[in-house]
Amino acid sequence: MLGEFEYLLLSAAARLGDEAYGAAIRQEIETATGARCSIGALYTTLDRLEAKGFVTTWMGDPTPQRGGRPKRMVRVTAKGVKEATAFYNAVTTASRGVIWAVSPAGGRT
Amino acid sequence: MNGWLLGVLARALEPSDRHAVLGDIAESGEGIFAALRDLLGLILRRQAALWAHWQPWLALLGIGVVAGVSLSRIAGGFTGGVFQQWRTYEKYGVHYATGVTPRQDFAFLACLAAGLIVWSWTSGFVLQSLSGRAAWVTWLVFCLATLDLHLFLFPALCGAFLATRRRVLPLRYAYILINLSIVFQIPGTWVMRGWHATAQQTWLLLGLSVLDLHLFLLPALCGAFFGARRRVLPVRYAYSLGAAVMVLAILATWMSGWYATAEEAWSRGAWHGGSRATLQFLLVSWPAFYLLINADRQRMKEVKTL
Repeated sequence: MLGEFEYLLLSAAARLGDEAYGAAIRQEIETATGARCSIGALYTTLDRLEAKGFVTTWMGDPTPQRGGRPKRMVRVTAKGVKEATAFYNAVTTASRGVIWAVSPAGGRT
Repeated sequence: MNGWLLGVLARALEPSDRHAVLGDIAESGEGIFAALRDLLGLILRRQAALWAHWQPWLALLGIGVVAGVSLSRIAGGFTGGVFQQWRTYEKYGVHYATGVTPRQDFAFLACLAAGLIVWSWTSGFVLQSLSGRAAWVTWLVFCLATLDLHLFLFPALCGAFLATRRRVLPLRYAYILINLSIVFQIPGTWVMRGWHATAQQTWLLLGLSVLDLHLFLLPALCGAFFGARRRVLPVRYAYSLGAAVMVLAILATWMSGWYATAEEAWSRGAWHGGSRATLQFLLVSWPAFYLLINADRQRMKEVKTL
C-alpha cells in the first residue's frame, strides 16, 4: 500500500505526463496541498518509488532557466498506476458516507 | 557566492542527483536560506539512508574502531621500538636490552613494518569499499581511533579523497598532501624537545613520524583509493593478499613470543604475556579475510552465470 505522499507524487507525475520532473512535480504537490514540499522529501520518495518499480526516472536535457543543468524526468509505470488506483479506491471506499464538516463544538457533525 | 556555497554542499550528493537538484533550485527561484535548507535536508536524508545498511556499520566499528586502534598500537610499538634502539645506540653505543638478541629485534621490527603496510592497505580498501558515501564518517572515526598521531591528518586525507574523486593526479596529489601535513607536526615536536636531550633526537622523532606515516596511513589511503573504484578484488590478488596477511600475522605472533619468553624469564615466571599481541594481530588481519570471502563469493557468482 502506498503512503499518502507517495500517492501525491504519483498523481502529480501522472498529471504532468511527459513534463514530469523534480521541480514541476514539487510545484504540483505544493499547489494541490497548499503546503511546502521539500526537495529532500521529494527526491527520497522518488528513489523509494523507483526502487519499488512504481516509476522510472532518467536525466533529461539541460535548459537555460536551470543554469544549463539537466532535469530528472519521471514516468509512472504500469505497476505504479495499479498501486495508485488501489490507493485511490481504498480512500474513496473508506470515505464513503463520511462528511468532513466540523461542528461549532469542535467535533465532527 | 551563494551559488558557490550551494555547489560546495551539493558535492555531498551523487553527480547525477547533484545537477538535477541544483537545476530544480535554480528553476524554483527560491531564496538562499530556503535553498540551503532544502539541500541540507536532502543531504541529511541521503546520509541517513546510507546507515540503514550494515556495510557502513561494519566499516565504522570493525575497521574504524577495532582495526584502527590495533593498527595504531602496532604502529606506536614499532616507532617506539625503533626510537628506543636508535637513542640507546646513539647515546651509549649499545643495543637496548629487550631480552632478545639484536638480530631478533631487527627481525621483529622488519616484520612489523611489512605487516603495517599490508594490514593498513587492506584496512583502507575494506573501509572505503564498505563505506561508500558514508566514508567521511568512517574515516573520521578511523583517524580519531588513531588519535595519538594522526588526527591532524584528517584535513589532508579529505583533500586527498577529493583529489581521488576528481581523478586529478590522484595518488601523487594525495602523497604530497600527506607529506605536507607533517609540517603541522613540527611545532608539537619542537615543544617536546624540552623532554629530550638533543635536537637530533627531536628530528629523529619527526623522522619516525614520517616513517610511521608511510607504513601506516599512506598504505591505508592507497587501499582506499582502490577500494573506491572496486568493491571486490580479483580472486588471485585476494588470495595473495590473504596469504601475505596470514604469514605476517603468524610471524609477528611467533616473534612477539620471544619477548614474552624473555620477560617471563626476567620476572622469574611472575609475568605471562603474549595472548594480547596475538589478539591484536588477529584484529588487524580480519579485513583481509573479508576480502578473501568476498572475492570467492564473486568468483562463485561468475561461475554460476557462465
